Amino acid sequence: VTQPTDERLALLLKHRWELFGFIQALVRSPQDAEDVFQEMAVVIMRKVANEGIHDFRAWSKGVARLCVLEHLRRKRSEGVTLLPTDEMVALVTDVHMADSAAELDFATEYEALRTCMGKLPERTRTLLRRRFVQGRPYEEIAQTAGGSVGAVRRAVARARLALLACVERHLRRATAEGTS
Amino acid sequence: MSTEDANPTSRLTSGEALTEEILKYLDRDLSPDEERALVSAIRARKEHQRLFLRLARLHAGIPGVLAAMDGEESSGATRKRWRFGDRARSERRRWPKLATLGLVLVGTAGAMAAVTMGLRWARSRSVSPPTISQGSPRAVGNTKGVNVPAIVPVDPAMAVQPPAATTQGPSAPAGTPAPPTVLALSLDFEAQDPKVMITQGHMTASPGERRGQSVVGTVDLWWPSQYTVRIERHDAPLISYLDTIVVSFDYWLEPGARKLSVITWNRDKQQNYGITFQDVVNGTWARAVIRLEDLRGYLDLRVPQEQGDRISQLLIIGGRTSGERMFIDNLRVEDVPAELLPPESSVHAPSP
Repeated sequence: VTQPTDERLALLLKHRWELFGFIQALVRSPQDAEDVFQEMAVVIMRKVANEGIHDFRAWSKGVARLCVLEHLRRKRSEGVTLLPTDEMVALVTDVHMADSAAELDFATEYEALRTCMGKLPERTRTLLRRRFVQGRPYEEIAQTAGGSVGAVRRAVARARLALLACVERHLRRATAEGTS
Repeated sequence: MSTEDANPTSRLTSGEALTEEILKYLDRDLSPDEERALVSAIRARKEHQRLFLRLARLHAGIPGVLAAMDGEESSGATRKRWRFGDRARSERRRWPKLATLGLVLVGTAGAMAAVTMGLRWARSRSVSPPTISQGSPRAVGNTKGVNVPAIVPVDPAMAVQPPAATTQGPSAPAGTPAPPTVLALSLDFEAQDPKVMITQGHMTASPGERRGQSVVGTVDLWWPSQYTVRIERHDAPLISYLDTIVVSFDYWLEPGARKLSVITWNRDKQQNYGITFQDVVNGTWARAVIRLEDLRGYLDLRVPQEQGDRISQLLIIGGRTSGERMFIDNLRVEDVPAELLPPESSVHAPSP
């Protein structure tokens, strides 16, 4: 087996956030997304030679796509429902393949998300934690929190919208600082 | 019937409605028909596609960011000790492991105290104060780059178990009445232990002539060049640090592998402590015996671990993703009487 180049590892590390986002957009489960990322990383690191890789970013997205498709195929054969439609798979793949945002953007975006999360009230963060870290269904969160399912859904949605708005403000500011 | 009913896509032309629908998709709350309508709406305009990408990344980042913040908030006091270090570098390098902390539930402090007390149980000797050893940490892997959240499954049902006393210390001399070694953790990977979580690596048939199962390392989001076995628990520290704790395990590295690292995440010091061996055994089972006091800080060498520090993760990293796999078996964490401590950490102990 040929040694993977340091360069390839560096590229994988550089693009992992984008690749993870792509995988998660289709897999929609943090645990499954990490598994798929892992399979993808193995494929990338085991590629014997660099021939044919003119654009690592595009190539690695292609590898990620194949790994996601294989994951979805497996899930379908296991009878798992709630998988994305073929149309959605095609869309997510297309928009990710076409996305040419600068790599710096992803790092800035993640830092902005971290800052914005810190601005949310602890109670809201607890809701998000239950939903997205612990993976609890809305019904269970509502039961624990003592509210209605609808109210919890709305609160979580509002929190994500607030995060989105905050992240975009940060990114605009970062862009303005970068160009000035 | 309204126009919107007739053509659900038209409802999604406003940014707000589209955002709401994308979030529902990410929550798996859309029916196939609703999803197809969303696809049409996103395809229709470039800005919708950008919005989708941004929301998808935001959604992917939330768990990791929250987990990281949990780690930071619970250690605000101790982080002041970083005054010696390069703050910017520290911020960047501690992120990956912060992100893997997962949720630490209320009551951790009490559980930690219980574990620490348990480890001291049956022991009446005093322990030496921590010292700052010479030497430099050998960084393992590459934690630079964009901060991606590692997603950690949470099992809130895990319960703290009191440690058990044993006299089977790693190096008890024959014929000597040995003070009891306190066994804090023992994993043979034959069955899932409810107290701990293997968040990296999975149980599989052992290689070589060994029967039964071991755990094979898998690819970590942060150190993708090597295989990792990561063991942790979220309701309580995996280990409460003492100078006399020894971590030992059998390992099998496929021929060609050259390195083996043992790394811990110290919640109280907010940094990784680790040790790397270059002289590993290949192609057969061997045993690593690691004294926790030999691990060095990755961010700030001058900050030693202290008695009672909460160690929430144990990582064993070895092999290469491009080639040699790594298997781990019979992991033990023991508080060993000072007189029975191995003279140094080693990866050459014979495997039983």
